[in-house]
Amino acid sequence: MRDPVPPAWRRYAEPVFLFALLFVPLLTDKYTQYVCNLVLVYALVGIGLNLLLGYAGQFAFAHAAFMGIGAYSAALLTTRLGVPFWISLPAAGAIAMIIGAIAVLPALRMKRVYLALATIAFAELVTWGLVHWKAVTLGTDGVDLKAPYFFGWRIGSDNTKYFVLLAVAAIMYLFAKRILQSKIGRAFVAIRENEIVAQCNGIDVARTKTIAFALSAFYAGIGGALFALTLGFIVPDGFGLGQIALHFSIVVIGGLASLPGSLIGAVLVTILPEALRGLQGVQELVYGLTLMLFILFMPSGIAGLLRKYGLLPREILAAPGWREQAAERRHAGASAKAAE
Amino acid sequence: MKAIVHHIRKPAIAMAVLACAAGAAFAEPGVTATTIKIGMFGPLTGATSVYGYPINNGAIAVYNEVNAKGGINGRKIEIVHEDDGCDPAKTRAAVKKLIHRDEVFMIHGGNCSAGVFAAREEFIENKVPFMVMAATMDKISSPMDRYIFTTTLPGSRDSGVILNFLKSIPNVKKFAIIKHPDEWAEAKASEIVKNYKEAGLELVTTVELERKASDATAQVLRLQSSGADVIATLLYPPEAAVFLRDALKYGLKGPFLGTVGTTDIKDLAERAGNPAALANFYTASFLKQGPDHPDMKEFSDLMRKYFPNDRLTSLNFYGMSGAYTIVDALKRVGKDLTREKVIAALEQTKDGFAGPGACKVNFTPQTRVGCLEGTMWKLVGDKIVNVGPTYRDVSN
Amino acid sequence: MDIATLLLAGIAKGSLYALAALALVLIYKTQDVVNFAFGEIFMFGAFSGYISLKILTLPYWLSFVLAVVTIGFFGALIERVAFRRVAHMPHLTLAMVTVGLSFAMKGAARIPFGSDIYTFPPIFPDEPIRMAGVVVAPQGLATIVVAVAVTGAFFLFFRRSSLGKQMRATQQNMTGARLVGVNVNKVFSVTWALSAAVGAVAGVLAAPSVLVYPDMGVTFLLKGFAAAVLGGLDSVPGAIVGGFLVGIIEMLVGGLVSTAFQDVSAFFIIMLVLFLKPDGLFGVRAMSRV
Repeated sequence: MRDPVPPAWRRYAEPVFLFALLFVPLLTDKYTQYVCNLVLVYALVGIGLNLLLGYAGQFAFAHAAFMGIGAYSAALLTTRLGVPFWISLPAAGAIAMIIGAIAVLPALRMKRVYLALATIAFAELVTWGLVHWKAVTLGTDGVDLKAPYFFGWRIGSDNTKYFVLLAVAAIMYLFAKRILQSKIGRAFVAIRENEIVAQCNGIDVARTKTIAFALSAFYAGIGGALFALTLGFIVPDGFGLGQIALHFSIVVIGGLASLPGSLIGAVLVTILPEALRGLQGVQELVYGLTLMLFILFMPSGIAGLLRKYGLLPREILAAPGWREQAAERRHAGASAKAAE
Repeated sequence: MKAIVHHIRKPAIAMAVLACAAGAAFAEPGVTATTIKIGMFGPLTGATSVYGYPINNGAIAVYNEVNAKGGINGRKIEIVHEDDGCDPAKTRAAVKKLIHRDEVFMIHGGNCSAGVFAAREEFIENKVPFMVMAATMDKISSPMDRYIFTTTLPGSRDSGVILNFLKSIPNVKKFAIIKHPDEWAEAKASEIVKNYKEAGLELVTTVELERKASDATAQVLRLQSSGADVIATLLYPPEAAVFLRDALKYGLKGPFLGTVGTTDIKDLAERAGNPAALANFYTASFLKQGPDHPDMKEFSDLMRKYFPNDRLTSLNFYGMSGAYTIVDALKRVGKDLTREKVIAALEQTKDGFAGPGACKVNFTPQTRVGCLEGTMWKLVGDKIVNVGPTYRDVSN
Repeated sequence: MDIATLLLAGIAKGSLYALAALALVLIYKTQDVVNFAFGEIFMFGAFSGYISLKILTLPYWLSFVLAVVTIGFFGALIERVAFRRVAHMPHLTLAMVTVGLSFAMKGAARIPFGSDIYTFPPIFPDEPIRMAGVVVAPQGLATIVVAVAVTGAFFLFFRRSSLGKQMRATQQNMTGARLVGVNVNKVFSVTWALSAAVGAVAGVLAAPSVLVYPDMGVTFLLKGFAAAVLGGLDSVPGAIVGGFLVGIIEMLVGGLVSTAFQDVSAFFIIMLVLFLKPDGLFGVRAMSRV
């Protein structure tokens, strides 16, 4: 069966969408712009968690902690050490990634439930560290990140921040897509479905898990750094269980194992509370119930729904044209045999 | 002739529209002929909402009363209230909404320090006069900024009240501190640490109690073996209740000196469950008297008039001094109301009426912290007694 | 410093952790799932005690019974409504449902009780018991007694009773158990009801001495995890030993080392145990190796 050829409009949907996003600042006042910026931050964070939870099937609670590590790294480097932002941003991601890779090492042989518990403990330790390691993190006093310089440009206004956020988010989205279409991406899904079978098929489960954790920590770190940029001020309090609740909501409601799902989830989870400012009392209850309803009845989230109606493409975890390549190889193999 | 008219019609209309727009742009946001829009925000929902409506409603009651008496120079005050959930990201969103969407004239709000600090540069960048409601983080008001005013005692100051009182207790040389590991307590602790030596005192130990801790056994035992005569209790009300209750259990006698966080001393007694726990407990306060005191009748009556279904607590009084100060400044500016004029008027507040506050409000062009005085309260029986800034025996 | 008092306080606190661990072990032993909503069940128990005691002003023993029975039913209800449907799904899904449940319960509690931190009225006369120079609160002593009694009861239940054996069978192999005639659905209902009831017991016992607020369950979940992990996630006696140990370690750290490290010692315990001996002191399940 051939790959279904997507209709013409779908082939251009992504680049057109990206181009359209460039014009958002023209339509927004400063308040809406700020909300849009938060959406981009959470989309990035959501992609990170989706890679780990949706694609690689690892149930871990440390995402908010890595976001905090990234946020603090970026803020401390930029504000306390005067490092230019275009360095502290990737540095924040790298620091989170390294810590993620190290932290997962002992957890590699643990069963799923132990992994979840260990990551909760890790997350609490990180929060405790952020509060108590006052010499470095300034404790609950918080750290500023005001108007850093990015390649010479001063990122002060929400509009300027938006373009930085958009650029980084777009690049990282495409990067995630690439990874998922590669062998690593397929390895993720393999270990999600059944670790033993994956191992038997030659996939190095430990290595794949490490990559999944490190990658998602990287995304969380970058997301955290951009969060610090958007907000301008961070405190340890903001990276605990409330934050991870938000992350879970984003990926479950948006759609597990779906990159566009992370964006959809981020939009809903950020904009709805602002739009429903009057109903904030029942927000958490609604989150919890929605989460449960989605897991029970709509595990592929909204993205899954859209996929059913053809509005989103089915995700094929292979580079485009792989069928043709495989056919060619078979052809070459057959003619080599014939030549014998 | 016709051609000329035709040619200038479009540009003429354009210019007229531009002129109108330019005229509108000169009008001050949030001010109309009949209203002044004041923005307000606070933790109206979420885990900290006990510091939301109770505090903000006090200020609203003051504004309502002003409106009932005819308003300010013919204008009534309109409050736009936003929730910040005690979260910095939400607070920033709330303030942005107030400034850019609701286009308020000035803002009076903020009880959660981290959030207020996160939103601080919004006021400065957009040149909106801001009066802190009840947030106490020092960083908010210092270093001073032209647009940020506060009539609430900043965190470090209330240590001054405590230390002053401590000094005056007879036969006290050694003291200890019990505090939370957070910035709120740290700010107060470090002020005490900076100044106690000149008072001739000795700090024997500092112990920490986590927020939301439900047990203070280890802390009490440590304090007992430290030999301290007095214990500075830099804790929030729920944890202070736990601590005092455990202190009673293990026989740690005190005296204990609390911060303005525990001003609502009757509430603390309820939380601790046993009045004996507060037998030797004094708390700092920036209010003149407790809500039931006859001197406070004027303010309790306001609350009863506009919020008859709310329980009356000391929290209701926290925001009133700011409201009175704002009203006073607005009145002084007169009919031609602009943001800059309000700042100038606020700067000239001298010995201003602080409502239930135990001070007189003073601002100058160089200072933005209006109230610097506090006092110590004690619960005797079921009455709040204003002991004063120095120690005296008030047990009946 | 009075080490004996410290230890006894640690054991009293530890009994609560032991009950929490027991509730977690119950669900895990039967369904191989960790109930992330346990903290909120505990919180519901504390609040229902609060409502009965302070608002309805019922006597303590009645509030206790009411809380345990109501929350027990609630547990069974949750199982029937939410978990029956997903019992066969991968553990990831089950765990996520419990996570969603915990947010929902927290949010529900916040609506009436979200705006403040409540203290329970004291149950026993406030005068602490002083014996041989050691000070202990009557509430603490009662907690220890109840925790030991409940744990002992469950230990016997799993060993001796047929329902207990059925529960163990279900955990080892659900399909196999079905094949030999175990009513798996009934087992699940009972498990959840019992686990919730234990949580409620812990909640009502803890309420007079802790702060009651919608987020109170989080700390207890984590401490319960620490205790369960330390004792062995599938061991009932391990739960009580683990609980006592976590309580004692916390107290000793706070009293002798530094009060700053007191609260976080439980997390250190979790990380250490999971890295060194994931099965805990008494657990018997092997680590998965691929």
